Amino acid sequence: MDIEKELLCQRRTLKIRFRWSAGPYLGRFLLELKEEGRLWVVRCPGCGRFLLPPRIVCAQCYTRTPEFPEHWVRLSGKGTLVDWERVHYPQMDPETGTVRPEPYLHGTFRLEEGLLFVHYLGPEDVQESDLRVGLPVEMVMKPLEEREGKMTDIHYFRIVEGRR
Amino acid sequence: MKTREPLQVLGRLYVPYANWVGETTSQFLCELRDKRRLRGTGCSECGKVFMPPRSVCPTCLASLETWVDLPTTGLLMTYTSVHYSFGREYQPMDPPYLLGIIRLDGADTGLCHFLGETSFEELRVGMKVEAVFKENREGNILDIAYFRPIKAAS
Repeated sequence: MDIEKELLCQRRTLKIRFRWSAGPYLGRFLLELKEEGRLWVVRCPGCGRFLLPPRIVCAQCYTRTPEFPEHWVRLSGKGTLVDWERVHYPQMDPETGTVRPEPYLHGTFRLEEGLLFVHYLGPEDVQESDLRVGLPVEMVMKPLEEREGKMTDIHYFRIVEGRR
Repeated sequence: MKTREPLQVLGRLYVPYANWVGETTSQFLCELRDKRRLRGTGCSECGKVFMPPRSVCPTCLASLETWVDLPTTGLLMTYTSVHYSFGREYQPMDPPYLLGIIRLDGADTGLCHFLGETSFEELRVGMKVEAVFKENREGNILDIAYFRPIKAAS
């Protein structure tokens, strides 16, 4: 091939919209997260375990769980920091087609009710040198008008100020 | 179990992609963009002329390295009117629009494109059509705006 010939590239963005019914369990979980700004779990009537996200059947003892609100528990959204990681890998946000700015922090949290939960650790200017395992954390929601009924309605978890 | 649907999740996916069109199509589209010229490729084995150009003859499997200049006129082989809307993201324009397969004079294969300055009722299989080029061309098959019937000189 002649090296001076021009090779053309066509760029497009495929935009796909869809909707799905989240069902009585996940749908309730996401609706409460969106409207109330709180996490809910269902407590297994068989073994007493908290199921997060709420499920129809307990994965360990196979007991059927009741529908909302019986046996459902609202979590406080508070806990402690278990560990965190700094993410450098540039990832595309599939909802916008743009690359998420990196690095950002990702944390694992032990909620007051005993559950482990994974989410972003914020805010953006959080200093890693200030972080310690065991520090108290709390869930920060996005403003109500920005919530969509998704896990990203939780903005991030942050260290509770004044208790370092 | 009582069925309730507390929430419908509205999802969206944006998938940006880049498609390198290859050597043959690049050359074809550059000619179209820079010189308003339609060039096909010819097979030295069976003599067929392909429009849009291909790099390999599907019958002889020969490499098609000969470029053939074609006029911007041709015959309408078949046509349709598109009314079904399956989303602006997947269609080049909002329906209704006319699509035709045009065999350029001197070519052996058909090129699919829009038909303009006409109506469905006016179209006939075998009628002469000509390409209308856009003013601002970007190296895309849509640099041809559409094909229109050649009106008989009055």
